[in-house]
Amino acid sequence: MLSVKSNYSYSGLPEDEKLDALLKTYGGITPAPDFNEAVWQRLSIDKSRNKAQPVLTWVRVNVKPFDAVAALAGVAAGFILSLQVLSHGVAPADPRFQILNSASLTGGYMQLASQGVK
Amino acid sequence: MSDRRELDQELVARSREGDHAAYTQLMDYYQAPILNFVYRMVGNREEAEDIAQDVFVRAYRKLGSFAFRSSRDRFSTWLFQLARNATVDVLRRRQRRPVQSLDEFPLLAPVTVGDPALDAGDREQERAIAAAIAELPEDQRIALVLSVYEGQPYADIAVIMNASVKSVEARIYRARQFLRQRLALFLSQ
Repeated sequence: MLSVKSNYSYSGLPEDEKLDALLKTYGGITPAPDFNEAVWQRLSIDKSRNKAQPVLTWVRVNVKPFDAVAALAGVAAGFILSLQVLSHGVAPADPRFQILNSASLTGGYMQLASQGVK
Repeated sequence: MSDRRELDQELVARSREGDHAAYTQLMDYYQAPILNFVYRMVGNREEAEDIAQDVFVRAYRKLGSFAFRSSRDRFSTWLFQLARNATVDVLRRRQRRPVQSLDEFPLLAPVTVGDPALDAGDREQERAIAAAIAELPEDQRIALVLSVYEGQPYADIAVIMNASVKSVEARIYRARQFLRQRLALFLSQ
């Protein structure tokens, strides 16, 4: 049950003004002091990531049970992604790079992840 | 307003040339309105900060595609457009893959907004308003928040929402009708 005690009275105001005055009591939030810094950081991480680091990648491969063609497509996608990661200079043996789940006939998805890279 | 537009035009031009101080100045001016717009749409501070920062990242990368072609083109409108798109993406992703978090339900979550000196009645009122706004359909919520909280004129909201001014008017009218009913308890005081 809501109790409606408030320090402000809306009586005497026209309907639209009343609603506006009430809505305005829903205060906003103040940006964190490091807001700009966080944006610049994201932009610089982006730049360096494009140059050297592998990107965390989720690939959804629609593999239907017993669908050999789709399964092959999944393996091919994994192969291409592996090559992409390698081309960024990270070998599969690198602990940052793990294939968590290879193309699965039942799971329906393949997930590639690079540990330590968010 | 036109002074602001001219200043933005200059800051955007300098930012395009790699002047970080100019873009920082733009962020200083627009971070609060963008953050609060997103916050009132998603209802969660952490998520709102993440989305708002992402909006400024995207804006920086796309600065080249923004142009002050006509007197109606404003940096703020373009920025709100990016914020609206990013927010809608998040809301739709949430609908497809609902993640339940107490922070996303303003009625249940601890109040983290507004003045810490608010008394219990004011806090309750704030929660009720947040919850009522969260109940609005997405298009009505966007139009209402931009109008009431960000002071955007209907013509600019129409650009931001890629809609006609008439439909913006209709959305805000319906949103206000709904809120008047939902918040009748508070309005009758």
